[in-house]
Amino acid sequence: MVQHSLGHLNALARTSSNPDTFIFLAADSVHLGGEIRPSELLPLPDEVDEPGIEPRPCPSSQLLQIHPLHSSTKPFLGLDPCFPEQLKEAEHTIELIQNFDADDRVFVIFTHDTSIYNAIEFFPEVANDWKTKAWKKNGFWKFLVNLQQVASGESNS
Amino acid sequence: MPGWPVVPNAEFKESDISGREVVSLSTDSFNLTIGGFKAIDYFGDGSFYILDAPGVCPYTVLVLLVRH
Repeated sequence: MVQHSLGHLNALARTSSNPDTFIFLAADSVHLGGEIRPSELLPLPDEVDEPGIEPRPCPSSQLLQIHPLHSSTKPFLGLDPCFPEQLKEAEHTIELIQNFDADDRVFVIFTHDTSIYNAIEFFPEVANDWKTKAWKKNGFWKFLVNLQQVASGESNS
Repeated sequence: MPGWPVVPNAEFKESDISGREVVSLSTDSFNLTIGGFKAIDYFGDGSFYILDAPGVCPYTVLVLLVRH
């Protein structure tokens, strides 16, 4: 065990210089896009156009109906307070990640995020051109498709 | 440390780190701040930063970096 036992780590990997671009590896700090989106810096757009969303494009008014806080500037999902002593730190980490998420030089990715599977290329392809290839844009609001399905399942049961 | 099978219930294999220098990070190593995170410029050239991102449910308690 190390002397000062560290908690959880993230990483910021440079993908280009001039212009600067980065990929932010948020690891287990985030599990679903809805934990960081939308935010004050990145409000929900007037409509979301993603494969699978209903209707397509879906107006924000309809998406806000399934938002627990009906807010276009607060994330759809909160953190599970399974470890209450860590919750405050975890929420602060989320706030910091939201700033990176709102920066168009930075592509934030995290563990278990299946929404980017069809939006990105995988090893041995390189990730340096993520911005010109619009990887960030392609998966950005995709979590809403899942949330919509979950919400409609609940209302049917 | 060390890994399996030297330690029967280790969470990594000893062969993964055999012959490599293992560098443990301490809180003192995080001497930069990036976007509010304490950070390390790992290669010293701005290409890769490790960020201290505390507060997470059960998964990681200890992270080691392994290099050649």
